This record gives sequence, C-alpha cells and structure tokens, in this order.
Amino acid sequence: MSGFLSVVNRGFAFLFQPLQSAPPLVGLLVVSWLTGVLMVLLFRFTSNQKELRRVKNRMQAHLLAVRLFQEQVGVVLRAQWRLLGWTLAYLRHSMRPLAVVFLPLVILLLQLDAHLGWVPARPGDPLVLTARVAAAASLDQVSLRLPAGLELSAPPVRIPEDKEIAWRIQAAQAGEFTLEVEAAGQRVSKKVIVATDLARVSARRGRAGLFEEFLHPDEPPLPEGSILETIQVHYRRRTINLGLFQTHWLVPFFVLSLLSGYAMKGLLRTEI
Amino acid sequence: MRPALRAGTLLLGALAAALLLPAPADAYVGPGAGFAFLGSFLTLLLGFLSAFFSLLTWPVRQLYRALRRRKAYGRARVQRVVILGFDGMDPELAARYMDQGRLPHLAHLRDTGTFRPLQTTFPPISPVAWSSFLTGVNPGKHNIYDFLARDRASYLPYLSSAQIRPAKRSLRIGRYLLPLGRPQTKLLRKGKPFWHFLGEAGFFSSIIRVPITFPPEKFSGVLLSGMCVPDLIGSQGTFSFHTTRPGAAPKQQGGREIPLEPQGRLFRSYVPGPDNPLRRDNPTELRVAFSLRPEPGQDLAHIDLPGQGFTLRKGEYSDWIELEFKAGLGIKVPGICRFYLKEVSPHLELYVTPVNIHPGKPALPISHPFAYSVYLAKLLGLYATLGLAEDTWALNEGVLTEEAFLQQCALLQAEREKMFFDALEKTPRGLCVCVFDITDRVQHMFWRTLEDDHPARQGSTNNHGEVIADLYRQMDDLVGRTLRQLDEESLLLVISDHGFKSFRRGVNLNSWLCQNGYLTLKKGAAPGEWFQNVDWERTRAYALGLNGLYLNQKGRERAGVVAPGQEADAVKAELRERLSGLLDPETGRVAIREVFGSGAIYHGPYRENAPDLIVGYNAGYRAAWDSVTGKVTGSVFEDNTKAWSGDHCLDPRLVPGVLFCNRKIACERPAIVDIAPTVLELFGVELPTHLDGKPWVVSDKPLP
Repeated sequence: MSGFLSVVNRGFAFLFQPLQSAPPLVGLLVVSWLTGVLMVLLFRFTSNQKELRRVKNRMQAHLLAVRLFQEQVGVVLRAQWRLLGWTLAYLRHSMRPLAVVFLPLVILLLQLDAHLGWVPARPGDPLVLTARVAAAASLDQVSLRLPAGLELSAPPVRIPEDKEIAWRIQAAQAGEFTLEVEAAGQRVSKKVIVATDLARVSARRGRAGLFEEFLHPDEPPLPEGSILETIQVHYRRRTINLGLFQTHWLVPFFVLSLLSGYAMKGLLRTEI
Repeated sequence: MRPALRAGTLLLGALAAALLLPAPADAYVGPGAGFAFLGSFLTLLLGFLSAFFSLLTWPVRQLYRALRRRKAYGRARVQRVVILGFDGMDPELAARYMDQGRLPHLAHLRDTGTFRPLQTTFPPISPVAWSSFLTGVNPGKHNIYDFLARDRASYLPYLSSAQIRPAKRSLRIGRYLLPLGRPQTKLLRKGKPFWHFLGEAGFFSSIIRVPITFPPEKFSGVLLSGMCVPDLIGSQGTFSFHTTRPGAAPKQQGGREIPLEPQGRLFRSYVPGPDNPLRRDNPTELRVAFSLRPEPGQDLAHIDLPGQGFTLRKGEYSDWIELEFKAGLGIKVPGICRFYLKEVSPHLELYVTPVNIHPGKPALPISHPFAYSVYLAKLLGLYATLGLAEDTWALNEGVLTEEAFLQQCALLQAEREKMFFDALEKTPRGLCVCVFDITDRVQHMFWRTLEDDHPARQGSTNNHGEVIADLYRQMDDLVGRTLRQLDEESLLLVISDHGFKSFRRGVNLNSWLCQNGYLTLKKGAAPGEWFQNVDWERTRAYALGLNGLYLNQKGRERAGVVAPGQEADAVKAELRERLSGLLDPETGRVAIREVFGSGAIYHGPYRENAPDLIVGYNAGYRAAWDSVTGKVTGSVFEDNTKAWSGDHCLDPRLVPGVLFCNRKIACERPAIVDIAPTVLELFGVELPTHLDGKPWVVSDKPLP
C-alpha cells in the first residue's frame, strides 16, 4: 500500500513540478481541463456507448414530448413517467463507468488537495503544531525538538481535555524542515513546509491504518507503541480568488472539469 | 491480508473516504460522477420544470382557449378523427381481396360501416389529390396541378409545391460566402389545410407525412412533412451506385454511377452531397469519402467512413448512417443514408440511398414545430425524411433488385407505422392523419405481376405474383391494429387519393403534337429533353408533366404565338376534338378517353396557372416517359417495358380512390375534396365559405 502510494505521490509531484511557480488558479485550470478529458476517455471506454446514446435519446424525446404535447395533460404526465424511467436507465448504464473511475478520482482528489488545498507557512509567519496523545496524563512526557531554521515563538500549551499539546513555531526562510516530537522517550518526525510558491504539504501524521495511510500518504504512519495519536501542522486552507468571490478549490475544479468534459466529448466522440 | 480482501477493503475505504471525508470529498460529485448525475439530474429538473410550467399554465391556457373557442369539444360529434391514407389503394382490388377473405378488417369496415369509391381530382395525381384533401378545394384554389409546373419564360419545369432558395443574408469571408440563416423555403401550394381551422377552434392535430406539406406551416398541432420533401442535394431523390463493373449503366435516371477505385485490398469511393453552400463563386460538390473492403469468400464487405465503420452482408441494408458533409469554416451539413451491398464478386456493387435530410439535425424545416422531427428521431431512431423515399428509379434502372426494393419498402413502412402509432397515442382527442406511400410505390412497380401479357413481363418469370395481395393484407393488418386502439368516440377513415390501372403503353403527346403540326423542331436539330431544339416561334402547343397540355400563348409564354381569346379557344377545341378518342394503331384501342378544358374543371384564383388542357388517358395508357420530360421522339406510342408498370395518371373517372369508415356515411358520390368539410363539421367547426367539398352525412352510431 505504502509503496503504491509512494509511487503515486512521486508521479503527482512530478506532474505538478511545472505548475509550482504559477498562480494556483492557473494550476487548477490545467488540472481541471486534463481531468475532464481523462474522465471523458475513461467514460467512453468503460460504458456501453451505443446503449447510452439510445437511452439519452429516449430521455430527450420524452423531454421534448412534454413541450410538444403540452395541450394534452395525460400525454405530458405519461411523458414524465417515461422520462423518469429512462433517467433511471441512464443512471444504471452510468454505474459501470462510475465504479471504474471512482478510485482514480479519489486518489486524484487527495493528491490535488495536498497540492492545492493548503497554503504553506510563509517565512516569518507563525504556525501552530499540535500533538495528540492517547491519555491526558502523558502530555508531560511530550516535547519538541526543532531543526535549524525553525524556532519556537511561544511556550507550549497543554490542553488536557483535548489530550493535546500545542506549539507556535516559525521559520525565517523558506524550506522543507523535519522536526521531531519526543514522546515517552520515542522520537517521531514531522515535515513542515515553509514556502512562498504552490507547494505540496502534509498536514497530518497519524497512527497506522488503512484510511490514515490512504488519506495522508505523504508521511509514514506513527510507529507502533507510540503514545502519540496524531501530529498535525495547522496550515491555512487555501481559497481560490475568482475576482468577485473566493472559494474552495473544489468548486472551480468541479465546474471547470465538467465544462472541459462537455466541451471535449464531441471531439472525443463520447456520449456522456 | 489476502490481496483480494485487501483490494476490496481499499475500495470500500475509498468509498467511505469519499463519503466521510470532511473537506475535499464530501462536496465532490464530478467530473465522472458529475457527468452521470448532473446529466440525469438536469434532464429530470428540466423535465419537471417543463411539466410544472406546463401544468401551472395549463389552466390559464385552457381558460383562454375555452373563452376563445367555447365548448369546442362540446359541439363536436366525435372526440377524435383518425385518417389512414393509403396512397393509391384501388377500390377494385380492395373489393376483390375482401371478397376473397384476405382483408378481414377492411371487410369488417365495409360490412358494418362504409366502403365506397372516392372520387379523385383532375388529374388523379398524388400532389393534386392530397392538396385537395387537405384544403377541401379544387386545384384552381390550391395551385397544384402536377408534380411539375412550367416556367413561362424558359419552358423549363420546376417543382410545383415548394421553392428553396439560399439564405436571405450572407457574409463574405475571403473565398467563402457564409449564409446568415437557413435556406428560404416557400410553399407554393395555396389554401389552408383544414387542421389549421381545427387548431383555431381549439382542436389538436397530429399530421404525419401528408403530401405537399413541405415546408411545414404553423398550426396548433404537430406535423411531419411527406411527399416533396427533397433530399440533401435538393432533388426528389438521387441514389448513388458504386461499382467496379465497367460500363454497368452508362446513364442512370434518378441516380449516379460512381466508380469504386481499387487501392490494394480496398476500394475507395464517396457519397455525393450538395454543392458547397459557402462557395457561390465556384460551387463544388461536397463529398464524404468511404472505403470498402470486400470479403468475397464470405459474401460481405467492411465499409469505413470517417469516424465509423460497419460490415454488410450481400443483400443486406445497413442501418441509417449519419454523414457530415464538411463545407469549411467549421460548417457541416448533416445527412443520413443507407448502404446496400448488392454484389461482392466477381464485381463489387454497392447501392447508397439518396442522402436524406437528417431528422435529428434538419438542414431544412421538415416538421412543425421544428423540434417534432427531432423528437421522432430521438424516440424512434433515425428515419427517412425524403418525400419519395421508396427508390422506384433504382428498381426501374435495374440498380436494385425486386427483393432489395421490397426490403427497402418494408424498412420504410416499419418506420412510418411506429410514427403513426406514436401520433395516435399522443392524440387522444383531436385529429390524427398519417399517409402511407408504400401502397402507391409497390403497385407502380409490381402491377405487371398481375398481368401475364404486360410488356414489362416479357421473358421474365413472375416471382412476385402475390406482392400486391400481400401489400393489401399488410395494410389491412395495420387497419386492424388501429381499430384496436380506438374507442367509441373515435371515427376512422381509411382513404386513398386515387386507384390504379395498368400502364402498358406510353403516349408521347409531344411527338403527336410534332407530327400534327402543333409543335415544331428547329431545322436539322435533334430533339432532346425539356424541349431542346423546339422552335417556339412556330409551336402552338406543348405537353409537360403527366397530364398537362399547354398552349404557347402570346403574352403568357415568352415566345407565345397563339393569341389569347378566340384563337386560343379554337386551338384548344381542335386539340380536344382530335385527341379525345385517339386510337392506338397497334392495339386498336382508345388511348385517350377525353381531353378536358381546364376552364370547365377548375375555378379559383390560380386557374391561370393550370395547363390549358388535361388529358384523360384510357386504362392501360399513360404519358410516355419521354413525353413527361418534354422530348419529341419518332413514335407516338410505345410499349412500357419498365418495372414501373402500373399508374393512375389517367382519366380520373377510371381511378377513384377508396373510402372506408367505421360509421355509416350517406353520400352518393363521395369525393376526396369532401373530407376537409366533413371533418370540420364532425368537430362542430363552422365551414369556411371558400371550400368546394360538401360534408357527408355521417352516422353518430359507432360500429358494434
């Protein structure tokens, strides 16, 4: 699992390399467009295109019937009923391509979130780091060791009710740092990214487990037997500036990838 | 963990992650999922919005209609009128087959309702008769006298029912002329169809393939145009025949022969399309190239077109194939056609139907509303839109075999039956009309199978002796299926526009006119089609079309020589006298029963466009092929040896149509022109004063 995720991580890091110095919106545009095209191709090769076309034609026919025969209430209601039936048939025919594209999509989303979802700490900006332990009593056994370039800007704060300890740290210069959290004599590392450009970040390192590894693939899980449950760097969530408003990256990604898919489906001779 | 279990867990994990993850995944539904869910959601939303809007406004619209046309159905004596038009169904043949017990449903109508001959029009030609059917007036008021009309300046023919011109405005971009809008289509038929008056009174109509409804007119209902809808190149149907056989058919009427060029194991050719509408200065034919790879051992061939390919067996038609003719500037002209593999070895022969206007993306309006043809295509699949879709020319020219022609007819009939039954379902109240052409086309082409001594049967075996009886049985079955859909409030009329007779001998009127000094050729010049080398300065009369005879009248024709008034009357009287009772010297039979003066049979504002004389041929005779196209030949009479062996362009009294009804009709001599006023009266609509037909007395009591 970790080997596979490591390959995926490296692959996406390579793909994002050219976009790193570009504004996030540009990167998002490129990725959304490519994703749309890729999904259309996957849809094409995993669906029964002929049947899908037939089903869509029937749907459109009954839609037209509603307008053409609007004087005849019975006909309109029958057309509605049939429209519902064909829509369900359409969904049924879409299930296979959906099942096929689901896993690649989730992986893609997680990768995109790692690249586009968070703003790395900027040089000089304070950054909060928290460590959660299994029992509040062990909070006193947790300490932080910072590498050169990172410094503590405030003393640690223990929050027993949340079983958490928090530190405020900052870096004078950009770079990728590896700090260490020492808990009950065991040292565990955590990456911290300080950058001005688009950068891939790993916000959290947690205990071993399928979900944890899948959702946070950039760092290995915490070692077995550690009293630590998670170590988390609280980066800011990134918002995409669309001029009139700011929004989560998923919104423009969703719209742009759909638009790209619909725009390219004719060229790619795909019925969706 | 076992790999399979691990993979399953991984997939479940991914699914759970997508559903449970707080930030990235819970808001996400695309693009893969988005295509499916958004597509179906939007469709449903649109559908429901549309229905909601329709239902919301329905009371308002109904109230408005009710106020405008109060108690429309309250006054009506029927809730629904269904008219099945069987083009060319002959009353004598129908009676014979009914008596033989072959047509149980029509016999049931005859026994419990009505069966009569239905008087047709002068001349008894489909465009004329159906125009009188739908307008309720004589040709002098609807302006259709034949398929063709003549240009008085050039003496050349043009289609009498519709005119198609380029778009009004265009934009010049370099060598291209970009049309800003669709081509202009103009209906030359005058008069309003009776469903227009029904619509005004609040009755809905579904009209399928009634002839001379192209371009479609606006009214309250839906309509798909029929006969006279052109193919994509603007003709009434031009097939293409692709062959490796050298000199297979030097001249193809109604079609083109295009060679298959060998290239390795492949053969290359193209489907011809319309002239490029963007290149007015130098019009070039648009084409869609294809390649054909034969498999002689298996009697099949693979056909590859841009973006698609399919395999055809020998003797098999393809589905409708969508073509796009690329005109430049990103403009494409869509069309559809079928391929038929006639022969694989020793020569490769491929027939391609005329390229029809694409019903889902029509380049010209072929329905009202415009979306109706699209609706039918989406619901039922692609279908023929060409008015005369059964390719009689291809059979006449030997390009299609009899079996292939019948196969084509069956495919077309299946499409039309689906359309009709959908229209019937969509018209629970109001008017539903559908005209089926197969009856006309098959009788034209197979009448010879009824007569052992028909000139077109010389030397050939009669493999299709039952084709016409089977055809009538097929239509009877259609009537039976229709009757099962009708309730007591529905009135069914089964009609035809004319009957049928044998076409054994052709009469070349232009040759007769030439031999008798009415038409003169230029000295030493050979005659040709469309009055080539006719000396108009010395010509007093000419024949054009199937039954029309025109005087070359001064002040009317460009080079007219006959003065209107007394001189014209004298020439007409002379021609009537000499031609009526014209004997065929070879058979000793009367070839022309009577010649009618148009002044006596037509009245109305468009009478002046009519031929001066209408020729009423006797049974067994018709205008010769060359005479129809204005060509003078050496002889007046000739045997008709073509497959097109039955016809109806005779004295109309010889070829009445049929009238069946599921109710009793009291009328001595019902005529096709009476149907419009009869239906209007059944719905309680006040009859427009200009109608020529008279309503029949129809009993209120439906069939038991």
